Amino acid sequence: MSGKKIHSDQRIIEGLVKNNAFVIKSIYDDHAPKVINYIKQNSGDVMRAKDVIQDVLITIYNQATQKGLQLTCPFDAYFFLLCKRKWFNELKKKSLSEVTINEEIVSKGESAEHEFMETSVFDDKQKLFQDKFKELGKACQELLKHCFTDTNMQSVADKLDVSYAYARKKKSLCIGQLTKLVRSSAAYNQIMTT
Amino acid sequence: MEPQDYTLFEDYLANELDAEVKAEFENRLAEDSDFKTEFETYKELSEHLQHEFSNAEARAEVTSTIEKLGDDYFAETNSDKTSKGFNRSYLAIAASIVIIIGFFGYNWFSVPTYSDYNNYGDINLTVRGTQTEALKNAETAFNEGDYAEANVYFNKILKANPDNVDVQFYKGIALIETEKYGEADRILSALANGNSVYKYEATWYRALSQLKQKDTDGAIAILETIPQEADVYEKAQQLLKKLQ
Repeated sequence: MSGKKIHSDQRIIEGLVKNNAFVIKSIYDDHAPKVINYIKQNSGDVMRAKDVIQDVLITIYNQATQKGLQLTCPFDAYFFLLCKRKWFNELKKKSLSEVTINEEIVSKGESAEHEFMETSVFDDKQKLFQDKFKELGKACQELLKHCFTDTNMQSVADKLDVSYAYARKKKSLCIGQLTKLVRSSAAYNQIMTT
Repeated sequence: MEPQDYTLFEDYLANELDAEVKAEFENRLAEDSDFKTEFETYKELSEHLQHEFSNAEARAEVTSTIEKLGDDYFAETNSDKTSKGFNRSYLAIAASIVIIIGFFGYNWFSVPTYSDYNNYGDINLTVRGTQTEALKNAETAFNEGDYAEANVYFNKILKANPDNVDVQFYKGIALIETEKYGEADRILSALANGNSVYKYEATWYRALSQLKQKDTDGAIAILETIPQEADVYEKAQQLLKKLQ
């Protein structure tokens, strides 16, 4: 990274990853009001805000556990940006014309943008990968699920009643097919050119 | 891309290519950009699938905590009762009149007490995969308000794992609940002087402990030590205003 100091709010990320109920509760107490307020002012309601907050927290959790996440900015700024973005995407999906988003970014700083962009890209990719996975044939989905929950390839082959060599080959072909689906999707090209 | 290319990818990632084939592969990566992009996407997908499936249980636990605490939080926000730990910026918006009147009515005329603040929701101490009996029992006892029993289990755990800050913290709270204030203060002070996740929460609870013992001055003194960068700063300030 750019050598910026890790912010003390990193402890919030760590608490989230460790399933620390106290930290998670404090996220709601300290950061939910602003999000609720924003969404209510932008054609939403409290329950939609709840969904947005929960989705964003799960995304942050996934990024932190899969790719790692280091905050160099206050959690407040980062979290709020992500919630705004999620809400904006929700509104776009329902194609509400005249989506007025009040542009008011609190404690905006260069580093908030950086982490925010990282997580946004991660989120988009994750959704795309999940969608494309569902487009694979059932056999591939089954096989891949087994391959990645059971680290022993032989035991996977046994479970599916095929040879080890076959299982191995099929695994690479299935991921290959998924790769093709992803690369040829419009969404992927959009993500990669952002 | 040919099927054998994907087999190559898989073998390369599993480090099962012999030196010559591996060198050839890396050459091709350097020279064929389409091949490289395909490989990198393949690799990224492998990592995604790895995380998606092998991490499923842990993710389910965290998701469940997020949802449950969300349900609790939003139930409070939606209720007609005055909400505790009121956030000032929310007040600034012309929201429900009932809540505003309720807030002013409550805070104008009543003195804050410990029981206004000791709402901590369910705790979840279990660490991924290493659920021990004592941890589970401690959790259950605490969540049912059986603080004396919770402490029996907390002590057991701390005997084997004296540095477990999560358990130290909840033990501190359980001690306040069972009126063992001296011991509570010792544990919470140690946490407050340390650098764990609980540093400022521990200070907050030390203050609440004073409040429970009806020592308003003591509570004020402690609350004033909470710095601006602490997450609990805002609520500490709000409580200070009510106490002073």
